[in-house]
Amino acid sequence: MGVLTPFFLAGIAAIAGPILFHMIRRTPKGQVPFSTLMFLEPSPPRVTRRSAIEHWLLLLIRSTAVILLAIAFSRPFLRSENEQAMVSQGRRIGILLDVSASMRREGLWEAAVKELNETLAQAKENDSFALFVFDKELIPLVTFEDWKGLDEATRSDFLKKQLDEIEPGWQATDLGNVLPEAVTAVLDQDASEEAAKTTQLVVISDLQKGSRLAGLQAFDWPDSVAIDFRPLKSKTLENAGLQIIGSAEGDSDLRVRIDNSPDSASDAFQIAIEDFSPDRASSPLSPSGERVRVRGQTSKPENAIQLVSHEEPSEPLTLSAQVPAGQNRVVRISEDDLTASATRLTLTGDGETFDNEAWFVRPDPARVTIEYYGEGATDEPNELRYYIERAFLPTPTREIDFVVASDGPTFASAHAALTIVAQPLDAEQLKQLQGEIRDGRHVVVVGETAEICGLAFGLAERAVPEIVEASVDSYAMLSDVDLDHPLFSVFNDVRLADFSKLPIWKHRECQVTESKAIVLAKYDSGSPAIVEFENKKGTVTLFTFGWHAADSRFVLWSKFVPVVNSLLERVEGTAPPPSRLTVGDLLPLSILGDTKMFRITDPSGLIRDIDTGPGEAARIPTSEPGIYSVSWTTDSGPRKSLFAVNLDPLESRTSPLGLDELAAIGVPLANAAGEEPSVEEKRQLQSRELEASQRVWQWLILAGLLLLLLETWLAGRTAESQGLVTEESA
Amino acid sequence: MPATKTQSSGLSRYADPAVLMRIRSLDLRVRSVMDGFYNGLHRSPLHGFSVEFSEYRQYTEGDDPRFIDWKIAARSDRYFIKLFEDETNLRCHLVLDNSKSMSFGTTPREKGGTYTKADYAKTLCGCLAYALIEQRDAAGLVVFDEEVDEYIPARFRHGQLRQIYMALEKAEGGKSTDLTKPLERVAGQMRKRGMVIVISDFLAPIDGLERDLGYLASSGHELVVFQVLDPQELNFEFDEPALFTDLETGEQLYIDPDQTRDSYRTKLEEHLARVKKTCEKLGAVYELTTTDRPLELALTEFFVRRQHQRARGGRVSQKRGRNPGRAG
Repeated sequence: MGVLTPFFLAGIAAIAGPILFHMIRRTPKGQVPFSTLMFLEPSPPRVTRRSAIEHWLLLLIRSTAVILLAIAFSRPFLRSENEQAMVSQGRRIGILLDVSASMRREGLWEAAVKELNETLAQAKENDSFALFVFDKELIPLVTFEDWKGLDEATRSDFLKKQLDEIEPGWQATDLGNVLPEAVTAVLDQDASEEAAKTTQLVVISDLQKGSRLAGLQAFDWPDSVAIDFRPLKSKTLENAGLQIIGSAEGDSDLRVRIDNSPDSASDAFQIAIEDFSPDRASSPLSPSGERVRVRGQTSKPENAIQLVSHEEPSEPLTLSAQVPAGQNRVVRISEDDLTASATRLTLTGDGETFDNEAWFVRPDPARVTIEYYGEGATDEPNELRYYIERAFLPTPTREIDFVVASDGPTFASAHAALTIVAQPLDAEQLKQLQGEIRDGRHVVVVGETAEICGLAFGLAERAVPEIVEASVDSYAMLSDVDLDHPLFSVFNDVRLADFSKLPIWKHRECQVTESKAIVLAKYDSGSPAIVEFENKKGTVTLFTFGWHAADSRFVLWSKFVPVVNSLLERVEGTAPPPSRLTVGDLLPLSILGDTKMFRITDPSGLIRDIDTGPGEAARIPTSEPGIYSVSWTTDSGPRKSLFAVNLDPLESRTSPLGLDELAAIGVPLANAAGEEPSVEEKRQLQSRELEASQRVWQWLILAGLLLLLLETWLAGRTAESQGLVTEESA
Repeated sequence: MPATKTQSSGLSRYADPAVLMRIRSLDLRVRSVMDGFYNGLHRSPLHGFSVEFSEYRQYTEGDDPRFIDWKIAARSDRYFIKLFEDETNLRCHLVLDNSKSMSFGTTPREKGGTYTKADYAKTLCGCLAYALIEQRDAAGLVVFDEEVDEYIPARFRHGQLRQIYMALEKAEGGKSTDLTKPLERVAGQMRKRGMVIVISDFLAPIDGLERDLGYLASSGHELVVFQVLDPQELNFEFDEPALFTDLETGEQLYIDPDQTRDSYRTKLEEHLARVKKTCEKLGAVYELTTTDRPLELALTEFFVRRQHQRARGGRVSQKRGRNPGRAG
């Protein structure tokens, strides 16, 4: 019932209209055109009155139609049964509890637990709950079904027990991912429409700026869902974050960024640099401020950094930096100060400590030996050696030793060497290389002649087939390239997989029928161009064309360097590690080669032995920041690799997020003022819902229209019959 | 008396307007009327418009000897000069009202339908033009409503009659009536004295009528006014109350004829009397005719009345000038 309802009901009085019109009749009027009205005076209309109603049915229909329309506009609804149904149905409340790293701030977790308990305490008898925790991902702890299944007396105890088991982790917050997932999960748990209307979502979180809201904008929020945010306030708004950026190209200094919050009062920070390698003599603790002495201004005065060293060598170095509130500054740490394999950087000077540590692992470049069996001078551009020496470039993770066999046969470690054969070998060399291949060496044979091609079969310990010089009309091209093979996988893209720019003028033809040989590419004539043989742990890759200018344009081809470097990346341990790992990322164990058994030591000291089955990749997620140590055993002895895992830098942006910012990107906020609606408001709300669900007015209007149609038809018929009578009488 | 004979032969020898109006061609309609008209006329003393009027004066030196009437000279042995008014210089403008009110008509045609005042007035106009041209006078036409819709200067030449017929047939119902502009136009064109025949229903305020006609009269033109009305306009014999729509203004009034008839008739009579009085005051020939009246009768009556008036007007005019009696 709205304010206007009485006025609409007053419209029923309009039925007086049809009755009056029915009783009073003006004389029928025709139209007569006349030359002028200047001599005429208007006559008063002749009105006749009738005391008796002639067409009862018509009058009844007209009056009923008016009454129906008047009632329809007042939008009636039936209260009794539905009201009870709505009362008996309790609310469904999904609670989302933030367990991201920023909740580690002082007092926040306690406030969150308190807020949760208060929400539960305010619950009514019929309410049901579901509890989720979230950081980057949403994890359901208690579903509505679980809640229903619990005994009423034990429900709160059960929830408290669940709460005791959880605490804030180290992961970043991703509200953009979590909220839509939670809405979907809550609505999916009970698909009925009525239930969805009474569903609430309560988010208990610190709502920091770095909560990643991007995903919220694109989400199509259901109308029935409104989210009740319960933002938690931390004791201090001062916080600065520390982020390792890495090294710039051509500069081996480490760069770290200090990001100071806008609300911060302090602007002076220190970074302590500590050796954190697992094999260090003693475990260094936090730096002791008293024993630091100023060593002097660094060569980068623009950063206002003071580099200091400690009186005792084992004490950590400390850097100072000035960062005004709301700004960030990149600080460079000299390569010389990062001698340890793993380093911990600790920031001091801000209010919060949870994000003050960052870890850094110094890249340990692998030494790879390339053995070249071939001729040619190092400065002769027509020779193969000229190109091979220049194609393999050293990187921060890889150092190259180029050894020419003619300078003296020095076979390096089988696991860290690539051998390129471009000349015939003597029997001794062949035998020695065969042994190396069996132990895991990768050999590339550049088949400049049929004899060298045959050598590949010999190295792979296969029977040598007939190899002849191919007759090529103009030039041959590569076709049927195996883009899934590691050698060509970098070109596995439509835009890159163009091999037509490589003309080959001369090549050798041979038949490869063996099952263990893989043809990586063929000529357009169909004969194999690149073949790979496996021999136990090692491989032999045969190119049946020469790389030099007389045979092909291979060395001048744009894909030459990527192809030969893919050959090198197959040599164990030379793949580049991922640049940065944050908590929650998987440890990149695949770059460690084909090893299947690892021992992983967490930053907390927990040791896990992982043994993945053949064909499976090890998926080890990281759960806290720090140095992860992975050790495994190879034929050449035990090996170890370190990974630095850091906190997501966005977690350091702890300034509180305004609810208006969430509203601005379309998040439906529940009860923004936070006030409980009054009894009268609730009653009106309920009436509106009842009215909207019943929609009686639509049926009333429909009935009114049908009556009017009937009236039109009936009136037409009556007039017609009367007209006939008049005509007949005339 | 031929005139009596004509009248005694009854109306039957005239073309019944109800039959006449079935003829679509104005030319044929006019001929049908004029044949009957002339048939009666040849034994009638009535003359056409510019009946020859001659005057003699004694010959004096310097007069053109060609105009000496030798017959008189032979009889009286005196030389008299025959003074001719230009025989064809009767320049007559027919001024036809083509306003919306003229499209009212309730007189039934034979074999269905009714014809309007405009149909009647056009036929009348055509008859007058025919009579003028036949006796070699110059006839012109002005068709008007609020503005001058059509203007054909008064001329006597081959094809003039046809041009007038075409203009009459072309004229569709216009808007409201305003006599001032067409009469000003006519006055502007007529340098010499002539005749102006106004055919209208005069169902419009006539406050300016005296001024408009008076200007022409004072210029020495002879004025003839035909007021054409529908019998219903005269008698107002509607039965049913109805919404009456003014043809010119579109205004609507609910009228109960029984209540209104008397006052209507009174007002109309007053109006007609005013028109007639104005005409008489200006020395104009006034002829009221209804659309159910045979045209020949209307024409005959007009000529008789004009002749009377000319006789009087001639005397009056003789006092004014040298050739006062000439309608010119």
